[in-house]
Amino acid sequence: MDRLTLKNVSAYYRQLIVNKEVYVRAVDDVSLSVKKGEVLGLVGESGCGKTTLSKVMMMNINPPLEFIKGEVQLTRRDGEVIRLHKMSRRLLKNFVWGKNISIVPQEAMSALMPTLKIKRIAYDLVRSHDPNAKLEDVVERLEKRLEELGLPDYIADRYPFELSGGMAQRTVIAVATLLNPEVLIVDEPTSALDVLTQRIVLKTLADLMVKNIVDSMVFITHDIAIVRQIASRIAVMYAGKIVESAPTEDIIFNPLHPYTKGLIESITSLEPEVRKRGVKYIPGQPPQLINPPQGCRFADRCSFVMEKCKKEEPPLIKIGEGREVACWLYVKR
Amino acid sequence: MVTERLEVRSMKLIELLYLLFNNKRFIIGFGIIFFELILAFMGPLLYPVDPFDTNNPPSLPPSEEHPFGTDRFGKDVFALVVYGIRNSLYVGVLTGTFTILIGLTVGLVAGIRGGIVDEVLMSFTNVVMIIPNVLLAILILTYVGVERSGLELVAAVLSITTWTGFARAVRAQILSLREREFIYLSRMAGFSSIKIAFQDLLPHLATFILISFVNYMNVGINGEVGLSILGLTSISIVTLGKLLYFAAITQAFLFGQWWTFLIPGAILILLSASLLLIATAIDEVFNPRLRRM
Amino acid sequence: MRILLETKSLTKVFETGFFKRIVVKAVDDVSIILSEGEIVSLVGQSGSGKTTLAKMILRLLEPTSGDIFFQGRNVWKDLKTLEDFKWYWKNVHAVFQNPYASFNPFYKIDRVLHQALMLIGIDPDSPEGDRVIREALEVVGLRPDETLGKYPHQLSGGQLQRILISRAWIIKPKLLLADEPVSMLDVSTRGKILELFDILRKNLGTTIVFITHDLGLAYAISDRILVMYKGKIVEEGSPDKVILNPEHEYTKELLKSVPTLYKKWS
Repeated sequence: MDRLTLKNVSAYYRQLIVNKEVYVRAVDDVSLSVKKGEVLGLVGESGCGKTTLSKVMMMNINPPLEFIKGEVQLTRRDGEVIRLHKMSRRLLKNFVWGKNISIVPQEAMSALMPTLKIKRIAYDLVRSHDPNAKLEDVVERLEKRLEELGLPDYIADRYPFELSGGMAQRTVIAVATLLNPEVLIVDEPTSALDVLTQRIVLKTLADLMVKNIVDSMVFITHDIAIVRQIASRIAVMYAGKIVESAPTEDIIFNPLHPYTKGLIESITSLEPEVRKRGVKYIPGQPPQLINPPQGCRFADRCSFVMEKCKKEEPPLIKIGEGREVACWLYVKR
Repeated sequence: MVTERLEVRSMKLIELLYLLFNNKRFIIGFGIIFFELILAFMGPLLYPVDPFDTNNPPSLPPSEEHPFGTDRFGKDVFALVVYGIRNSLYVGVLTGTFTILIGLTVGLVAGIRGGIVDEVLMSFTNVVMIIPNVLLAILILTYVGVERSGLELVAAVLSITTWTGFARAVRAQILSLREREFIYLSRMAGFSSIKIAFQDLLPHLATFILISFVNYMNVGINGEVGLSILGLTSISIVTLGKLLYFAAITQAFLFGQWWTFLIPGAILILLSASLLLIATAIDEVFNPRLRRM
Repeated sequence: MRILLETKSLTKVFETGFFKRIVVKAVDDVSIILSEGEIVSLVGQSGSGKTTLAKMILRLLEPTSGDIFFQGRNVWKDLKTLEDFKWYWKNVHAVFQNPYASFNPFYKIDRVLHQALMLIGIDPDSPEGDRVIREALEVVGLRPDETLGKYPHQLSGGQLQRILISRAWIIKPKLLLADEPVSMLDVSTRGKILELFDILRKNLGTTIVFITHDLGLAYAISDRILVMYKGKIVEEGSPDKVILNPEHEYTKELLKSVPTLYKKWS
């Protein structure tokens, strides 16, 4: 069952160049669904639009970002479908964000108000949905949640700056999931941490799924080696589009799209497989999103490029169980 | 690694002007200041009346012959205002320049040299900061002699205490820039500290210097008004502040001669407001975080 | 192999705090030897002191105690004049982590290359200077006509980092310190940069010190790995020895936490 569904969404940034206004097509005609019980890894390199896509999932659209078209739907646990793209910002804030869908931003520390204690931050969050909430109840709930995630309960009485990086990150995760949202989006939750802490944060995120605190999770990252530890499915994004999505093992061991292949082969991890194949790279760089090329956006860097690739954009087609790829190599004539 | 980069970049002059002239604040501010500049510089040509001529009938309300009326001494207020704007702007520009020069030197040296030099300069700055500025101004101006002090001295007296905030801000910016990689690369190319200060650091401070200059101009103009009203500037030099001083000592308010103080006052307020608007506008255009798309 | 650079009990102490002095030993009694033509990785997490050590070797930060010897000269005690410093920086140069911060945004990218030419005594405006720059850009796989005259914000991080490597190619230092040169770059373009360091070593015999937090990267490219922890070198040896048979507890713990691509953690 789908929890979050995006249908043909486009979101562009409005940018001023000298004296002309142009659109940067950060998210261009993307369709994606996140199922119940699934951790979706959204993988892509800087500037591919993955963070913008996370904003679209929340419908947290602020200028210069503009929502151009498409549908964003969220299915609640009680079966009711909410159409986020039809709702006003005020409605989203009071009824959806934090309650049905929540986000853990890139820099956890800056998400926490430095002058408030953690319990106070949690209280404010709950109160924005339930004005009659009592502080004692919220604190009790928060301490329970902290315990569930293996954090000491005294954190509730601390100020954000008293926490270390990894601790702060996990605290933000605990606060963001206080109301048991259906969907949790985490944006590069580990990139600022050292490897030892990284592992603990990943464990905390896995706990959220195991303990049914959230139904589905979207894990946004540039690091495949990290996301593969937790994701059940991986979607690869390139230049504003999803180029491939498949179950994790398929992406790692049998990538189909030439970009995914290149990406997997450029990873240096501490494994004999990697030492054997050496460090590879994809030549060139992603296209400008102000004026993206007409055909496939990867055509310039692709070693399998054909005539057709430069003229027509490949559709995202279904290949086998749960696999989708947007590449002319796999379109049967 | 993946955070958005907010960075300064060099912009083409045309791009800058376009952005500035698309900014409402800038247009209003620039409009007012442009109008006052025209008045100050073209005024004597278009309205050739001697501001020191006392042969007019005294205390005339505005009329066709005297658009802003005359004061108790029979001087033409319009001619006085035209001269006053010019002198007030002069004080402003001088104060801005002095303040920036002192503050920049202290801030740059402290920030670049660091160590003991930094500590000494910053302690000195802190000491200057607590000196009461009006008291110092009274001491200096009465020591030199009020009638012998020109506008340059007034600007200098005002600058002598106002540079401290600017110096501290410059030092703080230098400290954050000093650890940037491009500074290291310039050092490793064998560049001297002075060369790095001028080539690498100053361009980064340019906007801040410009904004501060406009703000300190304002401080100068208003500071001069304050000193004038206290009677600490020469009565032979007409400034907007001096006009208010004259209106005050001739008890113009009591006699209902509103044109002698309301008109210079309004022009002064407009001047101040336009400078503030311009400073804010520059900040908005150069600072991407404040820029509205 | 001949010794190129040696540090002897190098220590850097930072003191902060006004009422209560807090003393941090960023680098604590580090003695290392770098030989000619080797690629050495200095691995450590943030705060381990690896960047502080690099800055002291680059003569950008004065050590609290200890000495650095380069070709028999004491770097912090024997070098006095700007000419001495220039000699040193001609021999010991660096590529930094953040390519965007390595360029002053107010100048065209040509500037960092002109600086390099001036350092080795070639007039940047001469035909000779132009030829050297073009050649260096081609070595790193950039088209000179499409690169020269641009401002940093017009180029990608990978391209900027390649320009900095071409600067090193012009200067031809004996020792190049690369402080996390690929950590800000996209995974798919990292390989190109790593390849360039190898080209530098092969063609010029440059010793390269690769400072990184990424054990996988260190394992893939280096001849020798040094592991730094809390200001000390805790482990040293060939990649196979350090990665496969670590001795120090910290290294063991670190190796366990590095995410693997093909194998999923339990």
